[in-house]
Amino acid sequence: MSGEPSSRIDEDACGWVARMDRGLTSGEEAALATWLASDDRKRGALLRAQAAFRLLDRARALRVDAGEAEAGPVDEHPHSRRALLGLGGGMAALLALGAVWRVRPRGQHIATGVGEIRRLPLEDGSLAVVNSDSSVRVAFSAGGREVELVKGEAWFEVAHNKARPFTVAAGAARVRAVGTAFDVRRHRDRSEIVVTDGVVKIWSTRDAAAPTLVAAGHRAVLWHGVDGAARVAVRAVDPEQPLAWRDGQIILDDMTLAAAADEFNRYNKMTLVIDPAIGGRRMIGSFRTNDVDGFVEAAALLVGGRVARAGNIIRIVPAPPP
Amino acid sequence: MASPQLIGWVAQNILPHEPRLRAWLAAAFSAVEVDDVIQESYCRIAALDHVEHIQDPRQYLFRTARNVVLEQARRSRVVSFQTISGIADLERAMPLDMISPERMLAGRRTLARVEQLISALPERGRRIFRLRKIEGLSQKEIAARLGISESIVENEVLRGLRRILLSMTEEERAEMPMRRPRGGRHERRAVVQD
Repeated sequence: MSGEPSSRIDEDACGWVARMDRGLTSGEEAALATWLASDDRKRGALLRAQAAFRLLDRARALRVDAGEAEAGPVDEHPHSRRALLGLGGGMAALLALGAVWRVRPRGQHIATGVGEIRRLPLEDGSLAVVNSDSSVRVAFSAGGREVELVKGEAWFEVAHNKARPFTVAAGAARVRAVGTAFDVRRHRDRSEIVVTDGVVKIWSTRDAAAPTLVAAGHRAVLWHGVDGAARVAVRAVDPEQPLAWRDGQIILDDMTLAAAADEFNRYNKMTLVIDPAIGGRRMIGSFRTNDVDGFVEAAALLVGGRVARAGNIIRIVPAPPP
Repeated sequence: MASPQLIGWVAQNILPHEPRLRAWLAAAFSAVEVDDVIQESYCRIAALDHVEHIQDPRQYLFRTARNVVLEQARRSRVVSFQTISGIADLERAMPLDMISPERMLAGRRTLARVEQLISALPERGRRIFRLRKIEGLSQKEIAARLGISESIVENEVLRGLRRILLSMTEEERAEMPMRRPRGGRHERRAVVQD
């Protein structure tokens, strides 16, 4: 923003309101018009000062007596937002997105719809949080706790029990924990594991190689090479970013617009399509998983694009030059 | 020039939310000039022909301000982390409001608040604002009553309004229950270790 400092503009606006209050001369009318025309912010500052001056008219009620004023207009929505306030943000998001399930032991199958996130207390005291469009099968026995991630993503917080190892299967990939917390995301060709607490072992059933130990604060990717051998890549990661979904959030940390759209598409029935011409633009930000409109609006503004909607498809395309 | 109806609507429905908007802008978009964004936002509201379609003025104000920030960011072609990371916090900042600004400046409490704002002025300004806003005297009548010139009265109105506007819209700057864009607050539940 250039030109006059905003504090000067506010000062001048108050001056105009003071003059308008005693009545403007015709010369002043013209001067006011000139003043207003020189900067958009002045129009806003004047309205704001006029509104504040107007609000002071409420004091007129004091002239009669305060009791009558007490019966004056009452705020229509004083408490409307209170109901939401008792819950912590993350829990509120989870509860809003999916019901809490009580799991029957053995053979339980849980599938979430698009946009749905379920919090799933397991019978052994562990907790699973199942992400959008995912499917999990729980098979607990006396000797072990087996969970199959059929598709999608889930985060597990595992209750300690050395006698019954907790193992998550995602295709050929295996992730085993004793007492810890971690996230598994199954892709078609690979599995991603983010460890948020403790240590897990990961390995592939298609490879006899020894398991890899992955500690908290790391992300491991397990895939199979063309030779069939399992590969594991581990790197340190801020677990908040990939796991923001548990709070109903998507964090875009220097992600391309196209990749960000793919993330949103995991959570919503609407399909976001980004024109390749702008799909490579990088974004930083955080959004609620169900706030597609907020994201689309912000992204289009940022890249100078235009939003085109047709049925369930929302496209962001380059705007024609002005 | 804004119509008297619009000015009244802004006084009742927009101004009370400004402290919260300022706090949100400062917390979410550390790179922006808050005063500029506020003035630009009011400018857009000044351009409204009618306001009947605005069901939630608070949300309207926040959205308007957000768009001002985004357009500035786009114009400057510098999309910094600080500028952008707050975008989504708009929605989350609103329901998390513990202290509703409506309750501060609307309804019955408005009167007490207005009285307090006038009382906080220096002696001469306080007398002039009481005569003008409580007794309903004109500036000219006030000048005659107090035996001072009309330009002194006008100048006191300017200074008093400036002061009142500042304390009306900035008093809550410090207390804002904002969530950070990131943060794992609740998920560290008790996990039994080996």
